[in-house]
Amino acid sequence: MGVALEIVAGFLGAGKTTVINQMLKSYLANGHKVLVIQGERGEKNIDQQAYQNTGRLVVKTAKVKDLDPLQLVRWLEEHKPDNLIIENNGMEELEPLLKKLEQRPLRKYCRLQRIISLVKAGTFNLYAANIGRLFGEPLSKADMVILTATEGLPAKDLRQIQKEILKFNGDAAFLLLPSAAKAEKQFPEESFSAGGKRGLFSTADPLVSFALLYAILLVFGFIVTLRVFDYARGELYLARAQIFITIFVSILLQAFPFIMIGVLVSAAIQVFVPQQFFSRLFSRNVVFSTAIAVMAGIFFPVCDCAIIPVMRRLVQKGVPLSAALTFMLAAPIVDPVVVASTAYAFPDKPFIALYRLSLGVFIAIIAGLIMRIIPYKGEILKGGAVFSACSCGYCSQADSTRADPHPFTARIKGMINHATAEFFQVGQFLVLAAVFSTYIQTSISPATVAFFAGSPVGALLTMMGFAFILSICSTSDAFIARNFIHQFPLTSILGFMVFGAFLDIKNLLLLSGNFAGRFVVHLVLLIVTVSFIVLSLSGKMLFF
Amino acid sequence: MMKLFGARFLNLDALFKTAILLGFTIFFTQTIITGEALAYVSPKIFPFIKFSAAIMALMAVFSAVDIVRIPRKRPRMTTYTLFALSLALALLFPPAFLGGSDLKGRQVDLGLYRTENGATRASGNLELGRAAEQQRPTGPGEPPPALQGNKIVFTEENFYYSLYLLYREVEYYQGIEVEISGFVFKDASFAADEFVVSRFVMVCCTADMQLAGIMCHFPGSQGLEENTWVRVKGVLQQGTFRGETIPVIIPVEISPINMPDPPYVYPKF
Repeated sequence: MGVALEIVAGFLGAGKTTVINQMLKSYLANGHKVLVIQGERGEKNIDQQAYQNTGRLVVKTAKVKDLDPLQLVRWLEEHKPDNLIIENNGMEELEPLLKKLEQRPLRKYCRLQRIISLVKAGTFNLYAANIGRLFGEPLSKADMVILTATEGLPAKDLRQIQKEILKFNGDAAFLLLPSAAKAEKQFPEESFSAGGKRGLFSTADPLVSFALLYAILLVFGFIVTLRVFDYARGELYLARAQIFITIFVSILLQAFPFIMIGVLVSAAIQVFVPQQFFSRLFSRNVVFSTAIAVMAGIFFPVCDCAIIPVMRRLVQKGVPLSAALTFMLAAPIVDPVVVASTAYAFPDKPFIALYRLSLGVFIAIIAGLIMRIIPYKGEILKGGAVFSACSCGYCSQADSTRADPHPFTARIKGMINHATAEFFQVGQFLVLAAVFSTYIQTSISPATVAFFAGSPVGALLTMMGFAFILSICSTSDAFIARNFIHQFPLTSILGFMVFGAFLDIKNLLLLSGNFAGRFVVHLVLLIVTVSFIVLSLSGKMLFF
Repeated sequence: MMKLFGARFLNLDALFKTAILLGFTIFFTQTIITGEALAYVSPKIFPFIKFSAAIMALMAVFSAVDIVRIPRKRPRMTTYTLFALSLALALLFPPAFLGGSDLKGRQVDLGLYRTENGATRASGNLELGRAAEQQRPTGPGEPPPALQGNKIVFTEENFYYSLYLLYREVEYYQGIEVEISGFVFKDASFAADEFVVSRFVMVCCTADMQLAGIMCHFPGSQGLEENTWVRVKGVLQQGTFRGETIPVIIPVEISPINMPDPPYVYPKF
């Protein structure tokens, strides 16, 4: 099986040596033989004296950057250790080391057990803000994060730091090391071999997935059992389940291709568009950047579900939030197919398509301007704004191949890997939204809950609400809206089509999967308010 | 077992990704080849499905390469479970065709319009009808209704466009002979002699289908069971529904037919 390898990563003074000493104590006490590759001479030294007479500790000094995989193989053959500990300096990313470890023949000799990332509590905010990328990479890959030198720090600050780390890497075990002197007490043998206490996410994750499997089995178990006792009813339920699954799968089949386009564009932007491109493009005046945002919508005419991954990437790449918002709202409305389908759904009222287009663009511009005038101060992207780095785990793979002789192919690979990771990240919310939408479509009859159809304001609000739960895709919204022409005035029908393209169940879930919770609330309130005001005013001014 | 999960030994993340992407590639390809996709989505989505099947196959290949590499990430079990379950349901259950009452929110579309002040009006007039006749070749993508002499025959291809014209120009088409197939749809609010010969119209996918059709006034309506498929031959008249003027068929002949496959119509634009 090979030697059990552990990587200890952290900046100078983060406490790597202290932790390694603690690990050594535990392994050597169990009779293991250990090889340590020490990268740098820190303030402290590895406790060689204590174990010299056992002959079971070998310490070599080599910077990871210069570490020759063949040399490492020779050391492993010569000393035949049970454990290998490699120290990785914080100024180096982990990715090159992992690449070396994957090379033959080294790959056969050792097996990566875990990555331990150390962070000195007092330096966290400074490093995160200034060298986010370099700092975030080892953290995002870690199995265990140890926050060191926490003694004397206010509990509030510690919680804040822990929250930031959890957002970035919810899987890692999290440990506190108050000071080097307390290392002994903090790391008893057992806590280390057990891997420490894991983050909440890694506990919840398997539980949730188990619950999902269990729920599905329960439903079908129930139907099958029912069918044994009451054949007719069992068959009826089975038929209903089949209808439900058909609609569910149809939503996935229709939306996955558009999500795919969205994540490909997003990945292409990430890998191929230089960071300065967007900041230069949007640095000019407000009219210019708004115009670009609306035009971009015309040149990127895809369904609303493709737009969210792209918007996230644009914000990450430094596009001003106001322009990104205008783009996100305008794109599904200015899509020529959407305009055509609206005209076709309302054949005797061609102006409806025109109103939908112009009102939609108007609301997109107003919402963008408000975002510009009153900027949002908090965190925008999910996963913490502190790290400008992407936590997908593939970015650094793509970037560290810059020296590759074939940078283009490496970039294509980086782009595909990126798109794959994002497809799963975004797609899971689509699956959830599809389940919910199917339920709504098959069981709730909106015609029977039209309480407020009487007053124009009530009707508009009701239709905006329906748009949120009933919209599937901006192309077909117009045909769904047609259903309501018996009960609702035309302004509220228009409200359905405009608002439905902005926000629906699917979009909300996609947004909350990509952006920070508070920001999503802020965004939704902004879109709802602006849409409602513009739409209700338009009802008084437009001529039908 | 725990050791396998705990250690960065097997790249489970890449393994799950590869398996799921391959599964979806197979499902997407199979559903297009067998034509079952028509029960899920409109043919205009097909090129997009083919494109994403190709991309997913490519993604699967790139992920497969990573299976033997050191995992960079822990697998998100919830994410992969959601995908795997969706895939299993899609592969295990053949698609069903929906009947008239399966989408609860749908009322049959009888082409009524309500204006802002709450009043309703019947659409269409003679002049507009003539204009539409002349402009036919530039209609919205579908072939014009097969107006043979004094008769309109609804086909799968011209279904939605024919309806569109009939509703828009009620007066103009009055007295014309019509031949149309669809399933029998009835609503609690219908009179005893009323039924609608209707089809589901699919714009994008099953979830957004609409019921569309023409009202028939037929004394034997009660004898027709809901959701049965019929071919109706008759004469087009102006009728009223909820105070509106709408086209109505006075059937001369109603014959049972088998459900067409697929039973839906797909308007093009």
